[in-house]
Amino acid sequence: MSRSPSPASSLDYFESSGSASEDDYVPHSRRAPRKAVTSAAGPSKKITLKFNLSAINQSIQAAAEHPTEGAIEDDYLMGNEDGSNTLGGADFSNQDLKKDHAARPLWVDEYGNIILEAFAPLAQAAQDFLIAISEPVSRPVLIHEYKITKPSLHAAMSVGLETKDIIEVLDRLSKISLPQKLRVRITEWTSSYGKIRLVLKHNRYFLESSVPEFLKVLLNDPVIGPCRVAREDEQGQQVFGMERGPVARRDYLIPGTEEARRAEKGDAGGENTVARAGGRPGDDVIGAVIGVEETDEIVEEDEVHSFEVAGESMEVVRRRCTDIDLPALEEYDFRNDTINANLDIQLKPMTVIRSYQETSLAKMFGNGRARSGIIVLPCGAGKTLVGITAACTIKKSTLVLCTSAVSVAQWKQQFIHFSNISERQISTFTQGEKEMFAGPAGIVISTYSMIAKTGKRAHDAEKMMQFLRSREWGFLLLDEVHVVPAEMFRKCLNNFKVHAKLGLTATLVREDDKVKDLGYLVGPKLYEANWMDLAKNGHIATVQCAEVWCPMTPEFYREYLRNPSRKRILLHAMNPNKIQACQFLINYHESRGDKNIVFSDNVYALEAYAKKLGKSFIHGGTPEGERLRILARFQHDPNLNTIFLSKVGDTSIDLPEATCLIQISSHFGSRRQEAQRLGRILRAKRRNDEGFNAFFYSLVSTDTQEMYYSSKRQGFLIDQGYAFKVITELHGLDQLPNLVFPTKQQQISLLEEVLNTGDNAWETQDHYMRLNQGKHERKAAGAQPSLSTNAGGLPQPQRFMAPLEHLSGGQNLSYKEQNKSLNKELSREDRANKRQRGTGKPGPQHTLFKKRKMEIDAAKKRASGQP
Amino acid sequence: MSTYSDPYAVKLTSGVLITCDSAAKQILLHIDSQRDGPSKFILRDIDETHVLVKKEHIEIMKDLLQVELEQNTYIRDPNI
Repeated sequence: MSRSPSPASSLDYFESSGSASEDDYVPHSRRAPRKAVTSAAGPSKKITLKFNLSAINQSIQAAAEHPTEGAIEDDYLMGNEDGSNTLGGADFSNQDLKKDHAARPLWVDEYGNIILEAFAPLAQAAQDFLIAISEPVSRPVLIHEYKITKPSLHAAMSVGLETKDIIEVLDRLSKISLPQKLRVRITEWTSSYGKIRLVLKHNRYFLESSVPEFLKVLLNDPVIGPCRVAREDEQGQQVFGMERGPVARRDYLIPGTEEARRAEKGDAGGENTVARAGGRPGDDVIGAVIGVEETDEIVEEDEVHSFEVAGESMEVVRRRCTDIDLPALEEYDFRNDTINANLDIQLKPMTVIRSYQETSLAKMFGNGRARSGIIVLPCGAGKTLVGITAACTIKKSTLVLCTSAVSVAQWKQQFIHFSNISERQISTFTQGEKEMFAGPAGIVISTYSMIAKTGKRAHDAEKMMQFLRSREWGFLLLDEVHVVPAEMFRKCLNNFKVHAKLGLTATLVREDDKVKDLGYLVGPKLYEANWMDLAKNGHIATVQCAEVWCPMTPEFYREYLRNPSRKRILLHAMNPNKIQACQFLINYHESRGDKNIVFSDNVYALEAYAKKLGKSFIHGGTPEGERLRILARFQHDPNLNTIFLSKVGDTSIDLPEATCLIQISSHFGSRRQEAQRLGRILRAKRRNDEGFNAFFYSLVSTDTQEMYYSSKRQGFLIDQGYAFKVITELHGLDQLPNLVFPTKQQQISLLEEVLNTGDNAWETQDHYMRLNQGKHERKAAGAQPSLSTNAGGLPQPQRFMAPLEHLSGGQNLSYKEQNKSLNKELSREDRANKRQRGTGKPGPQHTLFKKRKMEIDAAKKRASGQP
Repeated sequence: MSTYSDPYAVKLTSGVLITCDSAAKQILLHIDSQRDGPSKFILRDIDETHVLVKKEHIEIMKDLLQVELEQNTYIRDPNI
């Protein structure tokens, strides 16, 4: 979508001498090519690919000269990992197609790029296999792109696949015979991985392997060798400990699945056994390797060698193993763990987990032990239930970490809802609550920031932390795991003695390159759901995405060009055309009966929009009570269908279901934010009428940075198969009654207002959030953190820029209110209601006051009656 | 050339009439405002979508406009 033809040539001009070009002036000609490309974002890519494939196809059959253009296209689309991006590298015309290529769904090149024809009959099976061994790159409706990378192969190994089978199945599915280079590459990459396991057994760490040579390498390593704990006295003359492999593979069950599927799924982990046993007739191997079919009864008894390493040097060992290319796989043999107390937790019989949740869990508990890793599911697809089911499978003390106090409460509530655990066994550790669970095992739910907090703590918080650190945890559940690589949260993981870790997220993307660290911090990606499939099956809402282009008015654009980039944000957010478009969309969707959420990162713009359009808004500075009131109204009041939200709505607020989302300003090119916001409407499943049932609009001021960021932000969703429709003009906008800023005069006065606002209005940050250190409550006037003097022992002083009137308190004075905030009206109404209840209905009044009132009334009557 | 200039004499400057959308025109004005003296290329700002410029600057002007517009076009890095 980004490969727009150069727009420069479209600058039409006439020479004044008269020899004019015959090109007529086209108002938007400059954009036309870009529009055409962008508008079909997802599909266009697909079409290109299709074209290339058929081009290759033809060229092969005709044995003709290779189509140069096609080759270049291919090269561009696939991007080589090792940077050998030579043009010749993408020429596949010399490859021979297999005879029955039509039945095979894959194209595989030597760099590990895979293209799947998702419409092919075998596609479903192939897809399951590809998810296991490669990273999904892009998954629109018909053509999917995958890529085999080192980590993805490692993940495949961690699920129990073997090199031989990976190559064999790939070859079987591919239309062309597998390139030799790729075979070598896969063999190289997989040779070392998964051979070493790091197991925490009986509270001792063991490095184990079925291949003694690897252990020898480790023992001779200068770093790992000394970490070994000698145990000759237990094992006699053995150099390495010798143990039986994981024998009882069949007896693990993921709770919540149908009885019938249990037996079958119990074998999912046995796939490696079968594969290794070999000798199976051809086509069944695919089924066996991807765990689709019932597998054999053979249970291989592997001999596993192991040696113990000291617990305190775990960190060193793990790091060193990765460095010398023998990464250790961490698994938790929870069923044989007799040291840690069992937690009696089960899913309620009524709880049924969906097939994709089951699949993801099957990956985690592949061989009867719990693997650490990450499961990626879209928002609203039941991540919580996956986490709870995993906890119910492990049945040990569980620590849950999430991002905010609101989600702590949600997790607790969901645990109680889905499982038979009693409330006493769940403890929450937040700023407000610090209780411990009853009994030897239980669940603790907390936030990352609580755990990661440094410096002085309250006494009870410190006590709780000590408790958390001192004990051993069976299972660590990391909600929104993409936040973990942040420097501050890393120590959350290192602080605790944890057997198995599971990360859950919807968006495994970060704008920095720390996503890779997750593989080391938590584990490999175990499963990633296909959004389009879930939407098709009705698990998440089907969303129509659109990017609405709002041209900048000339006045705004002039200022935009003149101002430094910091100030530009507000100018393109406050573009009058955008406000009009926003008004139009809100009106349209309110009349359809949709519940709308409007997102704006910029608080100034948020407030300005909301006041101008007469809607209520919530940002970091909105008091808690008001916020709850507005959210309750939004949920239940049919007259309040639109709310404006700042960044706090991204994560910290439990939002009611909405069906339409409009985005007016956003955090630069954050793909995560885009996906997370989309997640706000993915839960809207109740309107199951045909066609689209939820809407996602992104309002973009054309010719500004927003265009750039908008394309970047969409990247993630486009790869999930969403297509963004570009709307260049909203029909009927000019006929809208009460259109805001209809005249140039009004627009210019708006511009003046925008240019004259204080400094902090320019920021995208919700500055209230920063002032209050993330506690989204406005403090009492006297305790404004910016003004308070810090005596010794209090937190560090904060520095921030603010206009003078803010410092002197002048900003809180309103001299004239033209656009009244609906928020205030709501609270006024509420107060009035309360008063009315107080006077109108005598019900809740205490008899004492009633009597007193009667006496006063009587006295008044007497006083007025006597003269 | 004599120092006398006839106030009624017809002055001729050849130029190129550019037709573009208002945003592109604003960019042109902005680029022009950063240049000075003889390197300025705008002869007359006619209306929202038209502007008259010097013929000899056409090419460089197109390049500069292109640079400005490119800033807002996202090229997806194929390696991510």
